[in-house]
Amino acid sequence: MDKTEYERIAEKYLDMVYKIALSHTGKDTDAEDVAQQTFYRLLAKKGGFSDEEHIKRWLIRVCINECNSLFSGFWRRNVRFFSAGSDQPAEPEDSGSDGDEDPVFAAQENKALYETVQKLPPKCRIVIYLFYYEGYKTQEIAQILKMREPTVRTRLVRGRKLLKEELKEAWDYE
Amino acid sequence: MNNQEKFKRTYDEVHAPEELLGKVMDLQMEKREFKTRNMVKAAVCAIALGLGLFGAGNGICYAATGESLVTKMKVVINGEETQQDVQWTQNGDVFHGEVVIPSEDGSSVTVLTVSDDIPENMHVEMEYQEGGTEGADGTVTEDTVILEINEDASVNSVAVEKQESVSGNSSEKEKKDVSANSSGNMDETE
Repeated sequence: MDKTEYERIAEKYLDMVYKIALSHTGKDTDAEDVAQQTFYRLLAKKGGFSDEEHIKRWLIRVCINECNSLFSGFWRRNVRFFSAGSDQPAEPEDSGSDGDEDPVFAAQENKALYETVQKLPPKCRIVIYLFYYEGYKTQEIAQILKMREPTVRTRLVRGRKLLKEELKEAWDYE
Repeated sequence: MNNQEKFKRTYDEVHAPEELLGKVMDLQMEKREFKTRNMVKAAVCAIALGLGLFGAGNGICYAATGESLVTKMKVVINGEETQQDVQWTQNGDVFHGEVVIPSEDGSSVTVLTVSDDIPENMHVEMEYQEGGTEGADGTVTEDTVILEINEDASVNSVAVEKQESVSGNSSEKEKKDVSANSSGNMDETE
């Protein structure tokens, strides 16, 4: 891949990759690592892309793979962190955005929605993000995430339910 | 405003940090440096491997045959200056160098040198007549001339040894003159 093409893709899709990584990992430091790793894979990739959608889907897929690799590593699986004064280890997946810098939102309701989404289980979080933000249908999400469509729908319904429970009037019934 | 619009409005406010964009752009440079570093490493490894194999090969050959390195030596045969391979072997602190000079009819002359160290720029001059010696059983043997040469390249002693028999040749005893001279000495043997 030549320099110009790489820079164009990086500028256009870095935000998307970062948001997906953030949705999946829940931590901005992890999201940055995943984003860098994803673009490193892009640099190492041999062969081109057929169109923009191909680039987008490839980046999403690689980003999710990198997120999964992050959590399947020995360190993540075997090391637990304890908060001061607490006897219970904090679960990495449930740690949410603790200790990280949250994005600054113009409206309070946006911040509430973001924090609620970040509290969702990671499996629901990525499905919700791809459905509502990237605008993919459940069938397309199933292809990207390499899972069955009913599984995607189940996770979508579960995510919506959790969002409704938390946000109440701020989230419509669907 | 529906849920999708709310979601989009929220996540539109989430952006990758500026430093991350810089880091991602710098990945290209890192990859290039990584490639260069890898190429240098590969070249160094290949050279080291080659040297290792060469050394190991010599070691194995030495262990297997008891022979050591082969060096070139200047030998003058019948006034004609030649470069000959010297096969060095070590016996304790003493090195033995051996030169085998093949003649046109297949006979050979072996020069042995004995010294504490491999002499440099050794100059050996020798003259001999080719031929053979008839043995008691009627076969013709080739004579081998053995010279012991001191460290200062002077000839120490001369001996004649019978080599393998050459059958089928006409037996004609000839005088064989071999002279080795590295410091003005000349010896003759039959």
